[in-house]
Amino acid sequence: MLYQTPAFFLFFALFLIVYLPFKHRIPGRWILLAASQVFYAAWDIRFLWLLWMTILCDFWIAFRVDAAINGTVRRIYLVVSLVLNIGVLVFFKYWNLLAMPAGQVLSGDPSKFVIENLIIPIGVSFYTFQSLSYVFDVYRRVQRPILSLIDYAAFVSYFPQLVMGPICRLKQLAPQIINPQQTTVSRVIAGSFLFIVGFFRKSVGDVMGIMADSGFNQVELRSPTEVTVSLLAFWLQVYLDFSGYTDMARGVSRIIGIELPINFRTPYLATSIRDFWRRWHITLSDWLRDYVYFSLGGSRKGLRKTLFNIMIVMLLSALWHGAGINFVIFGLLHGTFLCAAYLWSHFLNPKFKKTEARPALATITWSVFCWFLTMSCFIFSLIFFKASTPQDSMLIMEKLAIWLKEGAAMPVNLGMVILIILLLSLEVWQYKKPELLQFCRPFSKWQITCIGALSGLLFSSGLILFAGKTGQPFIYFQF
Amino acid sequence: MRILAYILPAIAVFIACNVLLTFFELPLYGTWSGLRPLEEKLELYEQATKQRLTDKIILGSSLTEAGCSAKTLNEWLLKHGQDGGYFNLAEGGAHLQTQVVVYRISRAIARPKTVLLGVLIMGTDSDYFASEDEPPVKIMKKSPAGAMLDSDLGLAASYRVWQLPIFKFAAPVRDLVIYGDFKNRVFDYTDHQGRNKYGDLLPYAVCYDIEKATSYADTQKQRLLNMWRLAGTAGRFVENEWPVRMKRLAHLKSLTEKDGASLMLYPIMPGYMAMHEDEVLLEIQNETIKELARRLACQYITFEKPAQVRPYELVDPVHLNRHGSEFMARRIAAAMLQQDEALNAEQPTPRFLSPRKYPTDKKASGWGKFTSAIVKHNIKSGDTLDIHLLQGWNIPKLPIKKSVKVKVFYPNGMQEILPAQIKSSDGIAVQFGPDSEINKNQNNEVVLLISILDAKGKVINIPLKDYSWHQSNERHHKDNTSS
Repeated sequence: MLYQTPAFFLFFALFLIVYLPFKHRIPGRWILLAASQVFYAAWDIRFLWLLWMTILCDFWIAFRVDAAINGTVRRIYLVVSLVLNIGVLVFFKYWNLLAMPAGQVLSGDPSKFVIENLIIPIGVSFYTFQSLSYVFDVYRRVQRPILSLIDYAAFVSYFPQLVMGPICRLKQLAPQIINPQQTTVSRVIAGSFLFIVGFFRKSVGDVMGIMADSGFNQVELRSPTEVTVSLLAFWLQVYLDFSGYTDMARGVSRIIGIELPINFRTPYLATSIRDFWRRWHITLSDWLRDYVYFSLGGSRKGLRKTLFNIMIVMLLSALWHGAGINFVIFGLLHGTFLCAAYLWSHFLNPKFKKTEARPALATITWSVFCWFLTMSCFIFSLIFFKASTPQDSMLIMEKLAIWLKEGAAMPVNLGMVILIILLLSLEVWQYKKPELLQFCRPFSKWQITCIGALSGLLFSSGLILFAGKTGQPFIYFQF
Repeated sequence: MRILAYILPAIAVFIACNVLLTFFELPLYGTWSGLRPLEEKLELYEQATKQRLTDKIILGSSLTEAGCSAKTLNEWLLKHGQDGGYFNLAEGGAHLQTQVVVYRISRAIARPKTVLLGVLIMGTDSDYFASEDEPPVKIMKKSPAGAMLDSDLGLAASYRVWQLPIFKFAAPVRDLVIYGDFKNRVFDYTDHQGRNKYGDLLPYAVCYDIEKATSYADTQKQRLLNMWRLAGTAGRFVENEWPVRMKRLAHLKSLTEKDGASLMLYPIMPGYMAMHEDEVLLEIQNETIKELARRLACQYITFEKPAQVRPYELVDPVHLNRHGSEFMARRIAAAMLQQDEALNAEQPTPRFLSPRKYPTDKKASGWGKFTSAIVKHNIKSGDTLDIHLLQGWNIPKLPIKKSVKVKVFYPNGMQEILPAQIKSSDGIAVQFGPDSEINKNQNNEVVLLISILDAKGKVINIPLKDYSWHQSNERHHKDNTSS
């Protein structure tokens, strides 16, 4: 059930009719939980058991962890939870990748242990991390176990963020599920507007996806310009697709009365790779920082250990996205970029900053240069993210090098320019006035009118870009 | 109030976007039904129902679409006091299961009183084995209309929603945004064959490869005779050859019955077989249609052999052309009215001559609508003319250096046949050589009419898609550049 389909609109309308009268009472939580199960079952009912296995195991383990006084016992329970959750992830995402070399070594037949048609359950990477964060928090004694299984199940399977995040913590979501905010007119407007912005972003992302796929398909037959255009289109697609989804999820949730955390803070305006990761998929970055980076010691154990920790975190982040050597390269690349950025900020930048205050023009030029460098690094890494094999990645790089050398003009048409201007305006607006989009707040009457008109424009544009086309699945569905 | 302050501007902008799109001449992609020709027909059908021109429909494949003129049929029926009229909703490439879907889709606009179904007696392999997963049914079922097929209310609502320009023209706008042109618009036969307001296809071309047509017809006829002989009776013939198709016919019958419409069958054969129908073929088609109608408990039409054989005119071995379809319609009218007046009416003359002028629409030409008028000022001696012909099927490559004639019409009504020589031909485009010096009058208007001497005296009328002049000095320059 994609957010942009009539089926979801119908589902959500029915849900609101049933839910709103009970939202502040216990049946409200039951309705929310039931709706989440319907929502998930609409994708694939076969994996509902897996979701419930995660819920039940972590709910029980959290109690055991909390009850245990002995540190070793607590640690054992934590490991059990880790093995269960990560085991599920590893099995579905990496089994076939690991089975091939294992089969080769053990029996000489690489396909011996391969499971054909192994489907990755939708949202598994998101809800296991969300559930795991709860066990971690209980283990660290920063969170008391939740008493109600219904509330916990509603937290893990909360439908607006179930399949693609944002990855929430219990303390962020559970209190709101138990006591959601009033559904006021301002809230409905703010939620609808956020949803429509996401709808528009996703629709443009789909258009970019068409362009991206055409260039990445049979790379050897594509011209250097085609490949470059496709790479740039993918750069836009990956952001618009995921941020579009997040906006829609947050908009839906806002209407319900539950605020989801911000997942993107205009990452394509970042001027350093560290800045970029602070703005991109924030909830995953925070999760990895809190539960992996800090657990490994963070930056408190010397330079070498810090750089090692950064590499580990980025590698895990890449593997979270998918299996395969290309994702490993993607992770290592970003690890390297971040290490370089860390070294720069700790050793070179302070010296650089000590020089006299620079004039405004120089600051702007420097910022533009930094932005360009950051985006170039990210776009370069996307080659490995998108290409299906390392050979394809090499081919893309070759074509990119040819294009950079020859500098052929890119095909530009007016429609695309208008679309990109509209998107860029949205980004700058969100950057300058984040409160208008990111937070729910009362609007003045003229603001409402302007937002209404803008909603009409974005929704109409989104409809044009979506109508009659088979919707492209969200990129992050596969993760 | 606050919610209205949000919703009203949003609705206003949505309406403005819809209005804005109507100002652009955007091509129809047929996204709602998945088939552009069908959707163009549905638009005509809606107009015809609004003008009360039609209350009955004709269904069938391309053999019916181009082979039974609803316009002519209506004229004859009206002449004999029958009100209402037929609309030709037959669809190219359609099998029987397609017609079931087309019928269901058409109900989003209006429910007919009668469905006249052209039934191909000579089944082709694709008719036997075509499943629900083959185009065009597959395309239609995957379309927004297809998703609503099981709900009359949903289908009608979906049709109305898709009439909004924002949905209707979404695909062309999307193409403009991505590619800067209408890249995904599918070109097909309807781009160069006009339609009238009753949905009839109006191909003007004439089949010139008579040998191919004869050979095709002979093979098909032999096959039919073998099947008929093997079966022995019409009942057996239907049982042997029609098990799957009968189910589909029964489905259509049940749908029409539910709507209170009557189903009427008429037999059709591929063009050249119809052209040379003999007593045996007539008997087979009449007996088969009677048997089908008996089993379905529906009405039917059979054809009697006319006293005077008037051969149909063909586009190719299979399809009738405009005049052929008019003749077929008169034949149906004669059977319906049970009198031969329509059958014996005079043939249109001249039989093979195209209309003086094809619609000239330079703006639309980029989208495939044809123009056949060429206007050129100051034609110099030695100029050559590249003429791109409009053919849904490829024409054989014309022999290089062969002499041809180009007929030129002038605005003052004069006409002239000029000798020319074929310089190049790739099956779509033909380039005439230096012999094709067009009269140097200013504002020459040329309606293409080529006589190919190889075509055994037949004159071929082929609409023009595009043309380009090569002025003598330009040509010289081009040759130099290429060498």
